[in-house]
Amino acid sequence: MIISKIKISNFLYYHLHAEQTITSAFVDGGNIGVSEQLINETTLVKIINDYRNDIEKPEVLILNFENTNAIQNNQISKIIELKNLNSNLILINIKKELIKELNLLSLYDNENNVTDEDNNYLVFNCFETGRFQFSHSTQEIFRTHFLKLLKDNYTNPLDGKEMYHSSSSVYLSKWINIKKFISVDREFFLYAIYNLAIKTFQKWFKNLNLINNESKPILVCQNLNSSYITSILSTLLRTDIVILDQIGPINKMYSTLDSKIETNRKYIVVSDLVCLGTEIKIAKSLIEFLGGKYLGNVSIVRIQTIDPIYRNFEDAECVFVVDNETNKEIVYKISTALDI
Amino acid sequence: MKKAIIHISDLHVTTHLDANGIKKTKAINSYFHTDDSDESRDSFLQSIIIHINKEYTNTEFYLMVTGDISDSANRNEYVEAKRILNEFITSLKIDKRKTLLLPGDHDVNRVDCAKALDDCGVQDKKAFEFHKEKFQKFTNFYNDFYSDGEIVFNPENAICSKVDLTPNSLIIGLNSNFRIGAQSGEGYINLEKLKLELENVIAENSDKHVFAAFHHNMEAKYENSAIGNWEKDNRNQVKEYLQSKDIKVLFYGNEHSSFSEEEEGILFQSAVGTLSKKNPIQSFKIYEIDDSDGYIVNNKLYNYQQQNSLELLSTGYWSHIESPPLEKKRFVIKNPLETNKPTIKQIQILENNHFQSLPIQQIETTDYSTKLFNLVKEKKLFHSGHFHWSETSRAHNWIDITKILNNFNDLVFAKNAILDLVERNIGENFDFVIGLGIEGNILSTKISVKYEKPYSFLPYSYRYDDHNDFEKEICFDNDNKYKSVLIITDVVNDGRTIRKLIHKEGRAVDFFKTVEKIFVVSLFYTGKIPNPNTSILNLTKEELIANGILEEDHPESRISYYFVTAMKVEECPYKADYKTACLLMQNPELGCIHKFYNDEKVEKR
Repeated sequence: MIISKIKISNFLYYHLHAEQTITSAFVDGGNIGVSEQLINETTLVKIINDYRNDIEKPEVLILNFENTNAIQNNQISKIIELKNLNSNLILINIKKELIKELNLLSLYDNENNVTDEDNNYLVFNCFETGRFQFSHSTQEIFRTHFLKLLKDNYTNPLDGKEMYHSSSSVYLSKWINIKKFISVDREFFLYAIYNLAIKTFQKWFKNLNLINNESKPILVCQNLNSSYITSILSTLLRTDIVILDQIGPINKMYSTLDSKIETNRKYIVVSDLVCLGTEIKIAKSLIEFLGGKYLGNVSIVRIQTIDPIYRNFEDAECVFVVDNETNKEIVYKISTALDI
Repeated sequence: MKKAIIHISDLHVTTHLDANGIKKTKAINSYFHTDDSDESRDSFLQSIIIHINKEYTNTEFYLMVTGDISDSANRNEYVEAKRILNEFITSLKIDKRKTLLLPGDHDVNRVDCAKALDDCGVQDKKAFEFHKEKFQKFTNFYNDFYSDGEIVFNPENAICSKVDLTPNSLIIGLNSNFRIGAQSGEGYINLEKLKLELENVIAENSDKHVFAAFHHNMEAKYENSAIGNWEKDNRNQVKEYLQSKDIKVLFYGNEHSSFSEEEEGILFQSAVGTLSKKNPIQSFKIYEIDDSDGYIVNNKLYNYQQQNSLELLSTGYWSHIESPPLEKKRFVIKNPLETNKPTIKQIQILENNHFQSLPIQQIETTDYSTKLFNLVKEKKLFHSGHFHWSETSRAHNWIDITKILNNFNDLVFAKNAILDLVERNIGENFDFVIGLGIEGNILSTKISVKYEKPYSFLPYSYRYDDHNDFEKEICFDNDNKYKSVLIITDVVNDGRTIRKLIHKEGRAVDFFKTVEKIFVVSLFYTGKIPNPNTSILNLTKEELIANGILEEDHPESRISYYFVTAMKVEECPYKADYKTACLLMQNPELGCIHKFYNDEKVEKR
């Protein structure tokens, strides 16, 4: 399974760390989650095979090395194999140590390479001369593709009928169908969850040991869609989960039997989509009432109904924001009875 | 006294000087290096020694080093390597004769090799053929390490070392670097030499188990790189030959990743990652040997744990990594202990008072079913009371499965248990996967990623009305594409939930019309059938009529059902009149009824 393959015009991207992490976590038994640091030969072979089997050959092939600290020994032959398949091979976000280890500078010395302040390569061209204009930002590449899929396939118009929101007193003009996204574009949705795992790690797990630490925050899932996301996130962050299906009556059980929330443990609420945040607020209240500490929420999509000037979203992470800019294409509208 | 083999590999002891003898500016990517001014190399070494001494008392150790002892086969690197290994064996009281040292591709001196070829001047000679020259520095190190003149390294041999383990076993070290020359290459053993040499070893040790160790990995960590880092034909020939000589256990390193596996119970392989390279993760293994009844090698992996995982290493500690359930934790070489075999149709009666009244049936006691059963017992998740999932689904017990799924390690175990069930019973004979309910959806993620099959998820029938129409869609049109469907859920009782999903209008009825086979897997079977078989979820129309449930259920014949463990729950004895006949229903203020559904919605419907 390849999860990070993105085609944008004539450019084809693969994100190596994402591929390595997912394969390691779900196919191999020795999962260390997003802490995976080494790109294995197998990951490169997977990408080579996928590229070979793809009928559409893009003008430029881009390997994204973001979050990669090491590469298995003797892999220059695999890079050269990819170069033979597409002479316009570009490596992005690659550490200078890896370029040295692969001995790439002696092979391709292109003056159009782009480096950051630490001399790591934002763009390393595996050809002698020339340059291409494209984005090397992992976030931007991801968001461009996510927006396209969301707009084309997963925003269901409601045939002119406004839909009553199940937990907030508003009406929606469209349904953002995350469930269909998870099912039909499963590979790319896994990449979205991988990106969410990286963001969650950097915000709340960075100074914790993923392998053996009992104080890691607990992920809270609220519904069917979020249960899928939470289950994958739990694997990638190696942490516990809580099923807090608040819309249903299961919590009635715990009033008499047991509590799901542990006093003084930290909790992060996981959602598929945050619209007005009503369900998050309910979950937050429940967690705090039962003695837990609410850290924040993570979601795949956030509808930015409030301008960041008034609400800074410090306790929230997501991988895609529907804001004024992106909503020009999605045309999502929230109404009250006064509007309709 | 216990016996144990310490398996380390890929030390990559690295020189801190460049080719000009000037200190390198680039950070050295190994804890073991030649820079005396850096004290961290000794503290790292001590951390290993201290950890092993703490974990293993009263143990006689053997040491197995499967290659890449140095990083570039530099003389200074071997001076330091010798110091490290001497410190290691002295601190752990390991006799040198119980130490197996093997070369890896990094122990081939590429410069010496190229020079030998250049000096030779013969045109059709290959650099890798200069075995003496390419291994000269390793040979010096090896002979110097043993220093007795008896154990010496012969670079021409296929079997380059040998250590006696127990009276009935020995381990041979093979040189897999035959084709490593002035440039990098793949693993290769000279098969003709191996055959000649191994015949002699076996002739002298015909009554012993012979294990083999070498540097290059025969398998890779991931499925789609089956040949590892080895020349393909040679790898197959060597493997086949070793198996033909009844060599059942192979140890190696090279890939910098740790795993172990069993091939059909006849060949065990164990790989260990790098001991001291700074990325990705540092590991060693210890194999405890138990030859008191058969021959068992217990396999334990230790990793160096980092404090800040996305950064390069700073400080850390060693800890035992609980092997993933699918990895072989032990290799049973001969006369497997009876207790390790699955026991068919074993009946267990729980001793815990909490379960006192409940006979628990297990169809096949595997490691998974036993552990799952024990989890419920230890966590006290089998509750007694009055539990209602719908007006027609009521029981006096409930297993709180969310408490299993909440804990990371238990969740990993539960996902692996489902995966094991599928791998053993169904294989890849399905072309669509459905996770049923929140729990089923959580349990399905490993299978949904591992198998590249379409995946969807649906709510439980008792929660159907809690979701909007989009959430209840299966998201795929069948169009005769999906003939065989796998449904994953946490619990199955009498299977009515599954049959409703398949047949009830408004559920997934259109999708299932052209499906020919339905596999259902669950963690628990809680039904009343004492000896359940795979077809218990199928019911004929006649059976439904005979039971008087034709109106509320559906005939079905396509289901094959598999579960990890069985725990029978007691059904509520009242029938349709339960609201009037049951005292507790008559007196809701007693607060004894636990409902998993909303009365309001049922009444509305």
